Amino acid sequence: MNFEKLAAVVELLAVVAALAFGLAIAVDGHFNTASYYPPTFDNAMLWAGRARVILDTGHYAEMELVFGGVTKTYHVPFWPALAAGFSSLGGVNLYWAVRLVSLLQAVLLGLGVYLAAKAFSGGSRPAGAVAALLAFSSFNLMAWGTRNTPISWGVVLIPFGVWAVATRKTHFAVLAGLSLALDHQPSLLVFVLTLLLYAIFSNLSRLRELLSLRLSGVELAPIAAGITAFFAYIVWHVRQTGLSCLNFSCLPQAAAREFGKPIALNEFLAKLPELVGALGVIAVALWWLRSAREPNRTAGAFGLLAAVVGIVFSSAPPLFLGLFMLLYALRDCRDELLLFAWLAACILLVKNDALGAGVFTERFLTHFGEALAVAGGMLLALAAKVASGWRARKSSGYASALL
Amino acid sequence: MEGKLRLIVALVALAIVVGGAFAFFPIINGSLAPWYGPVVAEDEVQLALWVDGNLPHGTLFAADLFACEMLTATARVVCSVGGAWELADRANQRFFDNEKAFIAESPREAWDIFREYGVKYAFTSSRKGFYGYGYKDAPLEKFADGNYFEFVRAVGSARVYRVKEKVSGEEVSRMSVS
Repeated sequence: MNFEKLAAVVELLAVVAALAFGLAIAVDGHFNTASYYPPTFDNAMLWAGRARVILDTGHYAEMELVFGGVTKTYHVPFWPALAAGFSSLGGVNLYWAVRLVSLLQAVLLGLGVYLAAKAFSGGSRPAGAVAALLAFSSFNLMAWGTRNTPISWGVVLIPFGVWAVATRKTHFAVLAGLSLALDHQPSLLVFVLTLLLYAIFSNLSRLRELLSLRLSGVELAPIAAGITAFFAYIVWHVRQTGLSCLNFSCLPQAAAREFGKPIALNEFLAKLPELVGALGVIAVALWWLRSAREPNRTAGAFGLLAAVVGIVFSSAPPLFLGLFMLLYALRDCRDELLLFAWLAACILLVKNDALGAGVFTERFLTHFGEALAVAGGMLLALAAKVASGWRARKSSGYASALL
Repeated sequence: MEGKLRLIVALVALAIVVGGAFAFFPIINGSLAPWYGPVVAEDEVQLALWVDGNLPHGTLFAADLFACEMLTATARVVCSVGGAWELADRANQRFFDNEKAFIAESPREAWDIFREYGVKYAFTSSRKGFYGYGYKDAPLEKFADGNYFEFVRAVGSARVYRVKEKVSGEEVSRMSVS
């Protein structure tokens, strides 16, 4: 019997089943719960209204459609342009376009998480399938990740962007950054902060060369994607506000201090499926640190311990210190550093109240849920590696006994 | 990884995904139901479609938050409040006044507020509305006062009223700021 071929088929079935699960939730939501009209929470139909303006005029609605229609909009045009494009090119009315885009988002969300988990676990499809299941089982992720609004595209684009960086697909990473810049500011912040942390820590060891402008070893994908995303948004921001408001107070969510309540991560991570993700993070860190050299191993272990203590006791200083120690310990390990930079970026943004900002904290749990789903899926790949090592040791033990 | 172990891992993954999907589907579906809800009633959508075909696009309506957003997409009009309140022009004041107009008992009070903001039509529904701060019942009988409002169209319990430019039989000193 060809076990490899059979395994490949079963792996494919697991991936399809995971994606079908997410699609089933979205289909049920749109056609059973919402039925006669698309979901309206989170400004959903306002975004559809902006798409309608594009369909009718060929231009983005420069003025807000609510609050009297007298404010110049600060919102970015990617999602309404996408919905309008689906409607126009697909020959379907706006309501169907909105639904189709939402269903597509659900499938792509699972696919993005699958690809990221597969890349970080050394090509394990089962890890990717389980990660997709965990993503679709997360209330935070599904509540915001499959809506007819820009945050859902942001949630889709982040794992694709991280996967593109992990697999050195620079053009995809740049495209993800560009789309995020024109889609959803908080998601852009998650992506750019991830890339920034990754770029800083991955280049710590070659600081001396960088200071003497020897850039040969610098990785292109994260820097190109980060810079493209940042400047694309700045261009849009200046287009809307001019040069009068080049600071964070002109970001809509920052100006309004939206959703700024402190998040208790110990409570958030104690529930399923986030608990699996948290266990995955610890297991992945321990697995990677076990092969690290001293003193990185000790620094990483202390970092992990401090981060866990910070979460359990809801204390930001040990949590942040632990995260930075972990990132420092992993600075020479590429994939490991990227995954932990993603997790750290999400945690820093969720806990931004501890940094004095207190803006939009709850919404970043959505992005955190994705990174957690990826780590949770990797538990299976780690278990397989442990089993494989155990079997290898067992066979070599038998061989020694026979000799 | 050898073939047999790879197959075992794949089977475990399939079992986790299928089992997890069956276990989580009712839970996640139940939690998500309010998020997927259309909130606006079917008759409101039908009335908005009528507005789209019969009243000028871009006209300023007043309604609850969800009807407002629905109206921008379905009837192609501009509305008094909405969800994208960050950096909007005096968003809190507009929320406050919109709610005040709808929950007011007096038609005159509602009319004054609508005129101040240049609202041309009021869009009402019998469901609890989110006019500014939380879901509230609004005394909609006031819109039947022909001195201030003119009934335009009804579908089910949803209604559109035109905000009169002048109170019948009275000179209006207060001019619209729109």
